[in-house]
Amino acid sequence: MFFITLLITRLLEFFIRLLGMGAGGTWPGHVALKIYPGILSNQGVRPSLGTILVSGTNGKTTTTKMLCRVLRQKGYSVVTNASGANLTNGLVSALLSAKHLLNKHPADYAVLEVDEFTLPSVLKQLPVKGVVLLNLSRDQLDRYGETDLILERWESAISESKLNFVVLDRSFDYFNKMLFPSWTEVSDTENIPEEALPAELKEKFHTKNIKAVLTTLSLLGITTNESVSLLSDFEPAYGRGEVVSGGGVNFHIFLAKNPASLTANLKDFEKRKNSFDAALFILNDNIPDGRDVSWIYDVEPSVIFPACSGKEIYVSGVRGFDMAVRLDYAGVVIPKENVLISVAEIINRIKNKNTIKNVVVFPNYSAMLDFRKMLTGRKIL
Amino acid sequence: MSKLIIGYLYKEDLNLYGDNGNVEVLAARCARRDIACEVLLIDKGKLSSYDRLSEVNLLFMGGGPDSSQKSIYGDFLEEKEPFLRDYLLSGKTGLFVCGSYQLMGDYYRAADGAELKGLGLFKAHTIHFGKNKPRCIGNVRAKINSEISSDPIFKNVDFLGDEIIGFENHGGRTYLDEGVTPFARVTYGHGNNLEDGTEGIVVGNCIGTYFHGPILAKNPHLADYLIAKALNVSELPKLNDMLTTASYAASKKLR
Repeated sequence: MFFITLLITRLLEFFIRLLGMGAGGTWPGHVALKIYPGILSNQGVRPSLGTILVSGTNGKTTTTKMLCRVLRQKGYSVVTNASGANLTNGLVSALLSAKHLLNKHPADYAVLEVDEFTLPSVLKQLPVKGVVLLNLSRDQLDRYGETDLILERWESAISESKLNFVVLDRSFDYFNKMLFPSWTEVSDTENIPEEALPAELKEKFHTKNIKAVLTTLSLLGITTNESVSLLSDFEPAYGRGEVVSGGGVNFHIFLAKNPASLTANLKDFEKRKNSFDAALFILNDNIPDGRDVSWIYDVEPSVIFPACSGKEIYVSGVRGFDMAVRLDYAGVVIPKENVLISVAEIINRIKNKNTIKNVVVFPNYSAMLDFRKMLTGRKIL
Repeated sequence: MSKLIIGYLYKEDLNLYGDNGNVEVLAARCARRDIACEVLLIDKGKLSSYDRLSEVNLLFMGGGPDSSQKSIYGDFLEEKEPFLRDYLLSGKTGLFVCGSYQLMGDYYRAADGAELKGLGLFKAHTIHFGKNKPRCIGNVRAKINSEISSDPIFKNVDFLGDEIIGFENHGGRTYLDEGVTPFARVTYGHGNNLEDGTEGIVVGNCIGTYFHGPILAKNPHLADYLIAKALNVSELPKLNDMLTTASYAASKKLR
């Protein structure tokens, strides 16, 4: 059964690529799960040294990418869901696409980012070596329900699994309340001293993500010093500090999809605002974003105002006017002509300004995909 | 002009859907008019520890996740009951969004049949039908009732019309008792229960509603109406509402 499923998905993947329908991030897994719903429990998708799952509201993609980078530099083969497709179908796609028909294992390690809500069901099916829990805050509430519920489900799924380790940040109260089984080692990311992190990394990435990466790698036998040196020229994942240029303007994209990530990004931006001429906010309300955008009021004016003051502000997206009003109430001055729902039009307005060289961009999820596509002409998913 | 004193109930526990934005909007719209405004936080604890409750002229309470609502439930029902009863009966102005709207009613019947007693100051009850009826989620619009829309104060401060805009997200469905005035009539979306077209409730000068958005950010004219009512003035200086007006127009097209 496993072999047939693998053959069919491999063919499907081939045709998806041939017809240019995308990178094959979710469809092969979707079909594989239809044919063989228990495929995640099959020996055939199991890496030889173990699977690491990365979950949480913010920082999954960057953390996963960093872990892969170091493990690969160390000579391990690693399978990952690099496209950010982090529901069960995306995980299955990634594991199957790495599997060679004759090899026993798809790779040495699997490092997979997993959606917060999907994590429990993955833990029930796939034997996992370790889980990295980054953080948990309100995100896409209308789709998912409450954070308490997610914590409860994580706790019960972990207690029923054979996990070797859990990596988490003890400075978050909600993680301290969680109970773990005696056979699972719980490692606190805050044990990594601040001095261990090189300034170049801290400039581009959130400290908490770097600490989670170093903690996890030390559990896999790689020292912090070695990991840090292997990360020295690490590049951000798409939309996470990535720079995309067009028409003489550099757009520095920082995904801002919920109160926690927008707050963190604005605080970082405030420190480095002299390097930028303008800021662009893009807010959509598509299904992957969560349809409710009222979360923008959970970002405090005391964070918004000092970051935005003195900068030229542009706003776009389907819910651009909601964002503009929110910024306005926080005391930010926005000329009405700087608010345009169409992403293409706002890009043109900024390019035609001529005085603007560096723009920081804060899009939510689908807005980030739209924006990138507009500038690079490529699809990610 | 007198001072707007906003009593903000349980800010720490009930702040799930950006509803704290309502208080921010009220304060900002006062500040822009040089109207003095102060926010008094009213949290769990003895009423006697709050010595300025009688000064409150605009009361606000939001909603939260089940665990937070449970944590304030006892305090709300027992400790705060006398204050809320007096406040409502004295005809002062208030806004109760989502979870607090439900708690102000007679009872909330959970999906498993368990009944949670409410404060009983809003003559309404809420039933969660579990999997039998879907959650009420989405963009929502409604026409506010004619008692409010024909109020001369509303007419004076209004610059957008009697249709209000928001986002709703509730599992429980609320049914008003016979003869009780709804806050509004749904023109798009679910409202109280998807059956009778009602949305929210009005008791005296207190409004209960399911509208998030936050409601006062999406509907600045309603914010002004509450400010004018609370201060007992017939009109307010006009503000530059270019962005809020454009936002209101854009939101009217949302599906």
